[in-house]
Amino acid sequence: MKGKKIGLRKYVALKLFNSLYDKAIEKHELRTLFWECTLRCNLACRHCGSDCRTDIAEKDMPLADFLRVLDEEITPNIDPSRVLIIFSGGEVLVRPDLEEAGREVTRRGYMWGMVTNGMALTRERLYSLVNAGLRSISISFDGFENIHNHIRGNRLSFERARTAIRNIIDIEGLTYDVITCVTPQLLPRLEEWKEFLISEGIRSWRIFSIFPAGRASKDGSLHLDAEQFRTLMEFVRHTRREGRIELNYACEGFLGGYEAEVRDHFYMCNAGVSVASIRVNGDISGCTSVRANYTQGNIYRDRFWNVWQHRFEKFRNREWTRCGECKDCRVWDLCRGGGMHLRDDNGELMYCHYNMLK
Amino acid sequence: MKAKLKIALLTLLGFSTAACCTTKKTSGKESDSEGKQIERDSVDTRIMLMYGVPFPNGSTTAPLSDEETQEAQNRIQEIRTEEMAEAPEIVGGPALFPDGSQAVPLKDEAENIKVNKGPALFPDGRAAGALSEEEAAKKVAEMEAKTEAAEQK
Repeated sequence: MKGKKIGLRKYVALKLFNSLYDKAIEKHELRTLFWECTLRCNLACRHCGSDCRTDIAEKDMPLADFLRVLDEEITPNIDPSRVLIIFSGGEVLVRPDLEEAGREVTRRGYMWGMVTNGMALTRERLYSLVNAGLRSISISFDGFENIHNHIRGNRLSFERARTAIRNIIDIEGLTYDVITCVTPQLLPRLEEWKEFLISEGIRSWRIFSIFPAGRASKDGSLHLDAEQFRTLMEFVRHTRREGRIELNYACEGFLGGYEAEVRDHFYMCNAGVSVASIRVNGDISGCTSVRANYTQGNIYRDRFWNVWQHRFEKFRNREWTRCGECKDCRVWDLCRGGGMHLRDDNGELMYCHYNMLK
Repeated sequence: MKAKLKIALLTLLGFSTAACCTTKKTSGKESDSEGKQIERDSVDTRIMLMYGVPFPNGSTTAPLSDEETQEAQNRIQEIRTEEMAEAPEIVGGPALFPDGSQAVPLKDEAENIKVNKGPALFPDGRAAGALSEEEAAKKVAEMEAKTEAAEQK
């Protein structure tokens, strides 16, 4: 199977979109703020991009430190109602003060959401979080029981996630989606998995595939080859056209002819453009999926707003990525070297989605 | 070229949603905290992030109908049946039990079965063809009577 080529109409649209994206970079309005509140986790998943562990040296960031940055640096400079705060981990539910954090950011006018593996998300905890202002939640669900439990390394994880999803669906007004990491083991059964999700009443689904970072870089059995990746793109395209479940491929990379057909938007990497993160140790960076060292500052040393306004050069001007595999690439101006999370510490591209689809 | 014109062109090309992903969820305008409408003149940069959550908008919260979930359940059965039909023929050596021992092929078992190679037998064990015509007619009448009685019951 060959990849889908970029047609003329789409090419023109991508060019137009790119010039609009330039304007977004110029404005760099903060719209999403990740707070990596812990690196502790109650699972040790095979595909973990952050390689977090149950017991780690890095302590959780005190809530008061995060609130100080919000109050002194961020809130005075933005409209809180237009900024989404995402509590991120590790597994955020290991923090006993999550509800307090939720109430505090809600009180300041922000919306907040969180990503979880569902292991510790009982009905009582979920209701307590919703009462604390939780507006959006994403939960990992990586395939049928044997596949999910194998990836998650815990025989209870599938059933716990399933129960948590059922509880989430029951809450009216709570935005959610279910995230599936597609591995070679799941791919042949993806159609069946889709029907299973719909039969569970799930309306919104997000898919991603493994990129070589963190623990996932060590397990080649999780990676899709080029043919499998094209099959996945075709599946997503077909499912979106079918319209029975809202499906998006994650923001991972530029997808050539599949742009605007496998997700709601054209490709863009918003790390450092509209997305910032405060890491567990206070580091200020772009998206939390950027694991290489592109730290721009630290809340314990620098003024967050100053960093956001005047640094992030590497994120906002990607000319430096015109090297290696990207040097002579004819779609560089549409892709700009791929997502920042796909670059290693040396600036080398670890994975190119576009080349996989050629 | 002005941003608004570019957005209009993208719309003409059929990519309004892809360019501004909130288009399908709003009417093309957003409101600020005070309810004032904000006209968009750049791309909406709120996309589904790798480790992010969907932007709270209410569009994904409506439950699926029972018909939709039931249809999916039925389809799962169909997909499984099709998979069985498409399963390739198993070739190679004999099947193994989970403990690694070899499963005994059926024909070996069949050789040990005592097969009656003589005439067919009545249920009482007497061989068909061993009865006189009179006895056979009587036997048939008895069997028909038994069948009738069973049907009446």
